[in-house]
Amino acid sequence: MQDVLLVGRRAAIGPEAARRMIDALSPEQYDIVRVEHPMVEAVVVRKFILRMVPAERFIPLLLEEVSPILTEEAVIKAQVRITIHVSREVEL
Amino acid sequence: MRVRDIMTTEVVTVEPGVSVRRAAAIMEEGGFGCLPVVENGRLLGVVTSRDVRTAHFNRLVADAMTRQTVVVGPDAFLWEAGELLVRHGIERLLVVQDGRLLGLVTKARLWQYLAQYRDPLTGLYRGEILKEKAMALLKSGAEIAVLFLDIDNFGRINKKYGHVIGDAVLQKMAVAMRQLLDEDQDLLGRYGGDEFAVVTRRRLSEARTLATLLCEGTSLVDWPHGISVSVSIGVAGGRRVSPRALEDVAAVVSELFNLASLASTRAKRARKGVMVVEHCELVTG
Repeated sequence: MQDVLLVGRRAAIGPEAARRMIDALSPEQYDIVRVEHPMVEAVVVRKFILRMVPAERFIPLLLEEVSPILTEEAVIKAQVRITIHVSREVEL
Repeated sequence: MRVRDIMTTEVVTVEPGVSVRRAAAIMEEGGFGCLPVVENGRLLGVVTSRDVRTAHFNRLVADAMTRQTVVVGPDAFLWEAGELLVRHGIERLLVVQDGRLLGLVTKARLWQYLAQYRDPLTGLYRGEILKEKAMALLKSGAEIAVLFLDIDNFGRINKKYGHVIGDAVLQKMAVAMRQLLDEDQDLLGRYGGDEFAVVTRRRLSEARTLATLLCEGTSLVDWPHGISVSVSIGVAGGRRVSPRALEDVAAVVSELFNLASLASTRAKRARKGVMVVEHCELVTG
């Protein structure tokens, strides 16, 4: 299982089935976010990602990035890398 | 009569974890247009024939079902259930209480019972449903007034011209009254014999004006055989400012109908046309 699973509206596996499968493999680590999108029904996403970036920011960003390869029938696995740059001035 | 009195409790359901293929097979086998999706007695949604046509057959029912379902409570009146069916253009209603599926009522079964609520001669509501609608209005916090209308000397019309003409007068009276009422705030019913009743959301002064209008308007109708037809109307209610106590609505409605009926008798005796119950201090509320 990757960080994110995008479930197409006409995919053979739906979000509820994905949740049951994932819960069996890694319980309580994923959330299902249902989305209003012409091709994607829901996004199954690792909880720790949503702790860093709220769903309302993360999901539109994700859909924008994967939109060229989306289809209604597809279930797309995606890996997300979040890089945090910290810059701090210190007094010497 | 309430929904629980006519609902069927033997409902074929599916669990959310079965496949769409399985749900489709159950629907085809039983000739069902839809199946309630139930888990541990709780209703989660409905899988319709459209859902099984459009979803992949390997999907779980939970991933194909329609989540927003139109449901009705077991204590709803039949006409309330009927209005829901018409408003949503559906064939069956699930009966649900506290999220649990209790039963199902179909359009055909509901219509069969609702037909008994209509007076076959005039097509108007019978007194029973008029009272139920009055109760629902009171429960919603609205104040109501009741107009009780009695055709003067109707027995004489029947005796002189025969019952066929008497029936024609009743039908014409129903049509004439309908034309004088405002559907948005007045409900008309045939209470029995030559008695009609109007439940209105108008305040007392407006209800009195309406009663006068009905008296005058119905006297101008071109009645069969040139018969002179007049009516006596009693008016009660329509003066409350605050909502009534909800547990008393049935008693309040009965009392209002009774007071208006007595007032119409007084109006007839006094040949006054309209009589308003001036002091209607109800025991309840």
